[in-house]
Amino acid sequence: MLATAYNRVIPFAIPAGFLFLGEAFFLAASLLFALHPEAFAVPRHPLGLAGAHLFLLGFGVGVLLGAMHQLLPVVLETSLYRPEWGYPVMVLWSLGVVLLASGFAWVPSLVPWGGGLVLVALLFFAYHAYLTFRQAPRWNRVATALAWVVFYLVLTPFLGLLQALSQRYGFYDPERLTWHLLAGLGGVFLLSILGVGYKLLSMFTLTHGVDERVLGLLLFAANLGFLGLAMGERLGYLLLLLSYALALYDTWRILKNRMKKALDIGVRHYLLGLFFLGLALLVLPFNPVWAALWFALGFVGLVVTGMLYKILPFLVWTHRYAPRAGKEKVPLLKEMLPEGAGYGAGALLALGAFLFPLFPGAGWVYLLGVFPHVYALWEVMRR
Amino acid sequence: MNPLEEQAWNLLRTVYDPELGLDVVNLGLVYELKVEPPRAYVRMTLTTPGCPLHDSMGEAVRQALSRIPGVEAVEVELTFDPPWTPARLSEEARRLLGWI
Repeated sequence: MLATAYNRVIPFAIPAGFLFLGEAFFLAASLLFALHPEAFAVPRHPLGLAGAHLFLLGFGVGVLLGAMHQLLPVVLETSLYRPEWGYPVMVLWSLGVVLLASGFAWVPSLVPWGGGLVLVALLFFAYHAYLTFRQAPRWNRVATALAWVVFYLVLTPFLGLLQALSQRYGFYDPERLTWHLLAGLGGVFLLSILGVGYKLLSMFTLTHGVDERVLGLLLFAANLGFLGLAMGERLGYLLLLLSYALALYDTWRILKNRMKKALDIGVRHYLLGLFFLGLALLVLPFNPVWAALWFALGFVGLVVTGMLYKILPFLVWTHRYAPRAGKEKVPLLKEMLPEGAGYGAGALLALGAFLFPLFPGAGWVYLLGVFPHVYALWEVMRR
Repeated sequence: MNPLEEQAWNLLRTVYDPELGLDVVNLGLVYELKVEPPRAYVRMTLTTPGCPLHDSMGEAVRQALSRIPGVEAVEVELTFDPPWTPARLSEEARRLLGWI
């Protein structure tokens, strides 16, 4: 194959746009954690719902969509079907998040509109992903994980919208909230982080020779676990514990076979995130609110912020320095990130996430962690 | 090895994988190199199929070899057959990766 210049490069504005909008939602959600911690101590508090959607749908899904525009070609070994379709998805999704959060916090009639926009955005993204999947020359289990994530990315807003409309038209069923939560927290975040984590962790540690069979089993156990929990079966919980054990085993195998000895900032955040996932799963049967907080703020928060320290330098390098590589000295990705700020942010976010369910004032610690995190990303853009 | 090829290998040692901080020669990514002015040809791989640096690395190698006097066209063939394995890392690379 003849290498042609940048034939697979996605326009910078697409992944970066999702990442920056996600960061704005991260800041907004963290402000709510600090200013209104009482809203997160009970289920279904209006501000708690606004904060949860800003954090998970705004920050988590925003970064996920940005990363998937970059990652789908890597995993599938093909180009995106139509990269520019990312723009309408970005506009519809971000507008939907703003309307949803405003609706939950102040104007309930906006909730179905926000949910509708998000659903349209994610349906469009899913269609784009489907057309890209079809171009893949070969299939692998990371691609299977991504396909499941795309499915849950559509199912989650569909169930949420159904819930919002049912409240208005009188066919409300509280069970559906559990399904919505399981699809979002489990289907989207657990599968994307553990599934894609396999690929990213292997790439960042230069690991070869770890087969994908455990990942396949993990996906199977996790999906059955979600189904079991949705049906109120205790076996579902045990299956989720099994999938967590498999994720730990896979992580151990990857680290054991790594060629790059030093663990970088993204890998360390990932490992800390896995600790929070274990904590969340352990307390789930006893205190679901604590479990949800440790899952979201700890697991999702740390893994996503850690991955951003890898994704953003790569994006900036590709667009700013790749055209100069080979002609002059260009910086390494590591040199583009102020690691001290990243580690400082990670420590504050981890401490805030750990203490938040126990001491609501810890929301301020979490918020404090957002600033060095944003500073680190800002420096990446500047360097 | 003729002097031009020696120069080419030295130029390839200036092309770094920005994630790993190692050059393409020490990483063992270059399978074949021919310099016959006005043409140069490289057959190389990447550490992972579908590596996100796919296009950037190929282009960086092309740019580096374009600096050889008399070379006007550089063909870079990226292949994953055979796939890269850690056995291709040089001693220097292993040292920099922290294993020696």
